[in-house]
Amino acid sequence: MSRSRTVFEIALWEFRRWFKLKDQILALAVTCGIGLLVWGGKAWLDRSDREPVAIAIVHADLLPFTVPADSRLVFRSVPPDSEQVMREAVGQQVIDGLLVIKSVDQAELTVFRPPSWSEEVERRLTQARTETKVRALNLTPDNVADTFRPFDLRVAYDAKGSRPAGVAEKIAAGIIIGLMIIGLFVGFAYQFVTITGEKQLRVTEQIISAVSPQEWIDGKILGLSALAMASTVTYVVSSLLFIGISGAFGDMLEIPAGITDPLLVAELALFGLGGYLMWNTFFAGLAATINDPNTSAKGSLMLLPIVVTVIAAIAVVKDAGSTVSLALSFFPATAPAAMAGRLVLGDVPSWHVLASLLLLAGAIWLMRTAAGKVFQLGILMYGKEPSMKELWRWMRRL
Amino acid sequence: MLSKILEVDGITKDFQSVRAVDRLSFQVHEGEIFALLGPNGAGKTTAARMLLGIVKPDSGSIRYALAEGANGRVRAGDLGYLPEDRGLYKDMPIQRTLVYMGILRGMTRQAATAAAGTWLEKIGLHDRASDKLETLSKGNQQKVQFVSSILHAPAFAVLDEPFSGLDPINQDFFVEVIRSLRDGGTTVLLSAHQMDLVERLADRVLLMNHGREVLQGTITSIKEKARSTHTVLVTVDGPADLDAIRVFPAVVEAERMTDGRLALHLKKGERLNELLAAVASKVTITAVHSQPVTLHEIYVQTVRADSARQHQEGRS
Repeated sequence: MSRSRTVFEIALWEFRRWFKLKDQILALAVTCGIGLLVWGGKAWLDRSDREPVAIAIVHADLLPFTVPADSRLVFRSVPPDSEQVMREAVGQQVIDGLLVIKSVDQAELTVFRPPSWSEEVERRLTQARTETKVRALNLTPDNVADTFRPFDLRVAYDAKGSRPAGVAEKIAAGIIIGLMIIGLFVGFAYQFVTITGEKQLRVTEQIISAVSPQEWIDGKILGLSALAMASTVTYVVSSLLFIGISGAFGDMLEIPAGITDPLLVAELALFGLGGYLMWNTFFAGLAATINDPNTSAKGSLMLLPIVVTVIAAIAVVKDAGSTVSLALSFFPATAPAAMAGRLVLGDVPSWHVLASLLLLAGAIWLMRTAAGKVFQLGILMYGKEPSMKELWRWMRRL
Repeated sequence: MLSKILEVDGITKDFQSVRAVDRLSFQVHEGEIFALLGPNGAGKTTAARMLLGIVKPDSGSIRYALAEGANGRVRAGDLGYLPEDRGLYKDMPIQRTLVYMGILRGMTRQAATAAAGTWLEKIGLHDRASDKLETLSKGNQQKVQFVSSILHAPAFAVLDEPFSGLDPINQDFFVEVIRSLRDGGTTVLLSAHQMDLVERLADRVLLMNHGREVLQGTITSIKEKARSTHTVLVTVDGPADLDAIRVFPAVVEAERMTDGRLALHLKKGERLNELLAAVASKVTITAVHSQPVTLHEIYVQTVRADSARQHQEGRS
């Protein structure tokens, strides 16, 4: 059997062993459920927030104001001597509130429970006070608006330069790197469970007699990277479903137009896959040196890729154009997250993308060979776990 | 004369301060069942691992008369291995696991599926093909494990302790399966502790102790070589004077067994005429049986003698 077929069959086995279509469908169904709950609930709450609010107002003449027709606030001016009666009406929840104007600068609002509409009342009163004071100065509202208008500074961007990212782009970058981290967790969890499980189940010796350790680890890396990609796709579809549900309830979440560009999607997929391949080699090599996952101190070391990715994500989302972000997007250990962030948050020269991918591919190849050596010796080792010094010595036998 | 399928020449393996295998040499002929015997720690498993390329010998050579693959090693499909330290994927369906193992040994998916079906039928688990391995009894799990190592009908199979943990019924089952494997053209090298089973199965044996060869040959030749005494069981009618018997030069030891018979341990090649005449002059002899030496006795005697010799060498 050819080497490539052996690796393919191992990858297929690992993928099919852990990929459960039922679980993916369940994840999508749960997303739909949550989407319906969140957006349906929000729509229901919004509808209930549209109920008219009846407010009695005393001394309305001290601060005259008008309310637009589409406002839910309904003010009714009452004489000062009916203030006590109105307070009782609030207590009996016959009306929603009693507003007593004390002066142009002060008013008191009496309510039965904390109101969700008090901000609008405050806004209307502020506007009325401004208009009253402006009138006293013999100024028109237009004069005032013109005076306090912000200075009109227009920033023109050079065609080759980069543009600042908006909040939506930053959120999108965060979500994409977040999805990558979920994929890393998948790789971490399954490599750990698979390899330490195989050692504990004593499956290793029989397989190692049939295939080379390098073929075995290559198959595992490919199979579990494919699993991580499949999980990522499920989460992407879940996110799109969630957004779709938000649109169905008339509250469509904004997707930055840039990230739907097919080239960008392909680049993100390549960096995602590259990251999974690289870190899965790390997970596989290290897991082979662990005998008992419950007691081994190396388990915490397996979290290293996730920590590194989170650090890169923070740096890039904070400032994608900084030198640190630039360096991180070329360093293979951080490139998948950092370059993904840079791609979403701004324009990245093509040669940056290519160079970063090449460096990443080279690092994957080197790590694969090093992990293969560690795996070869670690997978049949029982009893005392190798020290970091021993691991380093094994890797140097390249 | 049978052709050699494996030639092992002076292999040695050290693990830190321990010499696990020490200049071991042997040949295995095509179509035979060859047994490696020895106490725990004798080096059998290390020798088996070296045969499969799992560990490399520090010195010596291992040559198979089998075609090599592109990587310069014997093709995985020509070798089968049942490790002593074994297990399978407990959370996976039985047939899928067998097919995977077959594919890793070079079978096509179709051939592996067909072979798995045939073997599951043979071991009576055809209706459990889709069940997870963990749902089977320990004995049935061992059967599946065994099948996974020979599903691809290898030219040469190494079975390390195939009978360990099996009840007598399953031991007999495996004896038959190993025979049918051999009859089907697979050469078998096995290591085992169950001497009676090895005696029933093996064409030739190699007894190891402390990593070294102690005895090697066919069962008959080993018995012949190892036999320094032979035992005669004499049934007598009445009390016999054991001291009077012990004075004969041919007698190494004489004892009365629990069933009343006399066990006379005689020097190899000694004649019985005078001795039996002397015994017959005192009591009536009703029956005489020659007791053949067993492989178990040879094993125990040889290993003890070798250990004592090595201990002596170590002291001097």
